[in-house]
Amino acid sequence: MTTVRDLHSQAMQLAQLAMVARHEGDTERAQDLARRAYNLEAEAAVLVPEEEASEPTLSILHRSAASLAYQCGEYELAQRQIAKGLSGHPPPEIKRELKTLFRDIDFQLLLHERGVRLDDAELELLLEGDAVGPGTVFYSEFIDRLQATYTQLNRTVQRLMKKDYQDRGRVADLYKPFTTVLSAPKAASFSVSIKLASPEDKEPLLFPQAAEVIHAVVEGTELVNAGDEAALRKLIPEPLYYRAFVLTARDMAPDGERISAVRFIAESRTASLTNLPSELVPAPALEAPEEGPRREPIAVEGILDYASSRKGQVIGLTTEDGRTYNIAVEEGIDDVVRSYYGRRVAVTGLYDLESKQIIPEGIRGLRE
Amino acid sequence: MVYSRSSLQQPAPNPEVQVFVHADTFGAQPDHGAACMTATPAIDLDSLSQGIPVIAPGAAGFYRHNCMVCFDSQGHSSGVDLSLEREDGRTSLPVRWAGAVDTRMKNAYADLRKATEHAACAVALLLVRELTEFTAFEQSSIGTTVDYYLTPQAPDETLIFNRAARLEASGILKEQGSNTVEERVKEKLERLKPDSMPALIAVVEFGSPKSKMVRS
Repeated sequence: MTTVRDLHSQAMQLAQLAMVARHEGDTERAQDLARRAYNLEAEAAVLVPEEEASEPTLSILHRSAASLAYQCGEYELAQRQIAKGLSGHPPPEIKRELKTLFRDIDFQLLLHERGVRLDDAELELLLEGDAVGPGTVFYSEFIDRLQATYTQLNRTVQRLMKKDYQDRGRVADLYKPFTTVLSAPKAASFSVSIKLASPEDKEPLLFPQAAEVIHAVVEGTELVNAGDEAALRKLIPEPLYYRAFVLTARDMAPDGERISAVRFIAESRTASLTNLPSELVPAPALEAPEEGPRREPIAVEGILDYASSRKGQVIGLTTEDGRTYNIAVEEGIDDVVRSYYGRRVAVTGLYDLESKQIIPEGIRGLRE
Repeated sequence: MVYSRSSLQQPAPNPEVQVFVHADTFGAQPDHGAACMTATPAIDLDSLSQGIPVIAPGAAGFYRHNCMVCFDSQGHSSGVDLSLEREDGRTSLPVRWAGAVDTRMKNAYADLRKATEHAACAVALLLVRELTEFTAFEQSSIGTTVDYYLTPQAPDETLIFNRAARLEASGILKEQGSNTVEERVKEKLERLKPDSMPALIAVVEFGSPKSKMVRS
């Protein structure tokens, strides 16, 4: 007679092979193995008497069966197994885990309703330094870098889709194929995982794969940190995308004290921004006009706000003593400028004596 | 000498490596009266497929490679001593494996965060097999990963998880800042609630390399 142990053992053997197949990128085989494992695990759970004395075995088997159904995308079956597990007498610990799994599945169903699916590819953003504790981080240190990561991913998608660099206006939906999803922060320094959910109803060949986008961001970041300008220009040959990538990466770089390292961890490789801004690929110099207005170097601190001038792409800066400046938002630096709107910043660049505008070369957020 | 699975059928704690799991916690009676072994146990990665029934034969290579890549990434080769801290003291065990880590293997396990998780599980299971009186392992799926359980004796054919202790295995590639073995063990202990199942916490760090095992 086949026992619970026999069925469960067979299920677990298949579950491990599913894990290996997933690691090898063979999603189809992984799902097939998980489905076979689910059938055996569900059968094992049925053989256990539905009584209090069967715990925790009964609820652990239901949780296990639900996890396997979840792995092969059978969300309704998974929820049924969870309901069975909760309807018995699960110990509090297993009850919590069943509820957590239920919420995970609910989230997957929500994504499905919105017509997107989460790819396995993910990018982990990890911060280290004095401003970081286990599972905690100073808000601005994290939010600024998360925003910068989001910008890098979006710009990379547009570049890979061969779109001309767009510095103003709303980007067409065609060039925004992914929905960005964040996972809960993890302890061990401070990290979050970022996933790119792709549309279920669009032909995948029309936009880059999530893994390709993530790989490009990680590789570019690694080159910025290594100061390898030549290799980075080869990776991002389009000058405006290049300039935007470098400025955003430099903006994310650690200050050496509060944040000592910013790391990107992806399936296939990792990149760390550990060097100080002076050691990174330099911010691309602005091309000086052969003949034209006189420009003088300037460094100024203040809050980015409305510009007094409404001509062209201009943003304002007001210093602590009330002086106001107009800053020209040129292509390539627009992402960084936008991310600091309403914040205290230090701006370096050239002051154009004719237009009375600052042509920025670098913008750095200052601690509030 | 490397302990085989069969040698654990008659458990015999090594005087250098005392079994620390108390009988009143897990319902087992460690056999302290058995004959002492004089050889120091080793962590043999190549034996993953033999003595740990919860590791499927088809997955043993996967776990072994994860371990090799983690040790190699920290500059260690076969024979490196793993320092182990337990409630009754410290000891060290050589970690052995056959073969070398090549570029292909490194590329296949380039995500060192995931590799560390899998490798820590494998090392923890080997440590349990070599150094404790637990004679049976169980596992179950949780989310997209695997949860391991330990029992001091062959459990019931039906109620397979009753009287089991949970193995809380966790890995750190290299200690840095507050990401240390001590902190991780502390976090795990704090996270366990009073109503949690009894647990054996094993944290493995590959930089030193070292490990700490405590029970909840």
